[in-house]
Amino acid sequence: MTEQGPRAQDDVLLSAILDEALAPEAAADPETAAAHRAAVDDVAELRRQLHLLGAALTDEPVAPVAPVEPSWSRDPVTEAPAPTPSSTARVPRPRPRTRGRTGGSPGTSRPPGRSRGRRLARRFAVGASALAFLAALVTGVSWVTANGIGGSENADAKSIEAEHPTVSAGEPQSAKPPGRAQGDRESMSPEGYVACMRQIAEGEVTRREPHPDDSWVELTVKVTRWHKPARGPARITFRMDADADPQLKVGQRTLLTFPKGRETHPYDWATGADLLTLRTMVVKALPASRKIECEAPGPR
Amino acid sequence: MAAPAVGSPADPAADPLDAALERRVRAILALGGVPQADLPDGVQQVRLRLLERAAKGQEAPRDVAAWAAVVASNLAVDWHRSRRRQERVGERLASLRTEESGAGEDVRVLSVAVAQGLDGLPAPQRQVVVLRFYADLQVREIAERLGVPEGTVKSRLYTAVRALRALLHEDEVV
Repeated sequence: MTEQGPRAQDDVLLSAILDEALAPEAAADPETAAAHRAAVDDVAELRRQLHLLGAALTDEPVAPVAPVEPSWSRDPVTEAPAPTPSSTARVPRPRPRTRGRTGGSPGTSRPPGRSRGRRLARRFAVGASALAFLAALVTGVSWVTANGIGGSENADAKSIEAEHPTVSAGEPQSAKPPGRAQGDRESMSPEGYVACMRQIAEGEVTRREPHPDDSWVELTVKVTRWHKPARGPARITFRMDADADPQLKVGQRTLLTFPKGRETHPYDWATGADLLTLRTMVVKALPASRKIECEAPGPR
Repeated sequence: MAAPAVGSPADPAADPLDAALERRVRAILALGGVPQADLPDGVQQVRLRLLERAAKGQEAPRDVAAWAAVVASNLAVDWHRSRRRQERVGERLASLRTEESGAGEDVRVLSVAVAQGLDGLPAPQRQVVVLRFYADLQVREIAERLGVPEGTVKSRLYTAVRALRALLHEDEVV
């Protein structure tokens, strides 16, 4: 069957590539059959990825930007079922909770691909305000207000909220589908939050490398659990503001959420008890979130 | 896949590439590493070759989609040879607003390894991978159209898929 040699593993891979069935005697061997199924799955995944790549690469040109982190190391595991467009509700994408920078200066270098404006719209972690945040999600209280419980954070949040009125109020009502009540309550629901996150994963920080100008750090997290999508790479590398609060340390467990769009700074990075709280919320909200379509995807 | 209509000598103004076929050609060029800025040029070259073929009175390709796929993949290989540059698909992928492509987070999370793997393949291997798994051509057809032995196509495919597969399974979550 193959010029690749006698090894059965080689044969099953070539069979998968050629869309050929195994010979009856080979198929009767459980190990060979299992290896063939794995090869067929991998080839199918490769085919699917090429089609996705083809679709992505033929999009209209976008403004060139530097490579965007997080730079995912490889390794898909399983997949989350895609929402059915016809059955999805739409919610405004949550705007980032904000806080002022406590360090650095406007003149310091920025991570590639991130504008100063986007940096100013910096979010802060699920920290001491986690419970208030979650209460806000449930009750529909303004996200910014809910998180801005600290003095300076609150002030900063309010100032940016004033600058960008939709930060806490979601998209204008006119942008919502008719017949649906989509006020703050829906946009701040746990399901809406999860729907508007591109990736949600938890794991252990294995590397933290500060940038020479101290304005940002590069972190690597060994992922132990993917929430969204249901499969993903084993390690993720991304950059965070050096003054992010709380700071993630090597060896620390964290649950990360990355918003839809081109933003690559984590939206939330929960640790400790907050991790458990956020995980509970995410796990509970995931099924219903698949029926929700986040509005206005793309860069903020 | 049904062959799209092809312009005939009697109708030289007809566009031999319909929208779907043009998009497919663009994708094959892009997967082959042709820079984004050069994709329109590449599509035009495929279109031109079809029109020239018709103008010379040659019979239209029996399967225009397959013909165009091979022409596009050859163009991509030649692009690298002549211009000595190629776009790193992995880098371009990272810069895309994938949400608007319809591919969403799947592309972002699951395809980067494949994109980087493609970038790392020798051009002949990359070409057959794209023709086999994107253009869905059979090995025999690829061999005939590229003018190489069937065993060579199998060998290239095998080597390329084995490499890509190893990438996919690297650092597996336990």
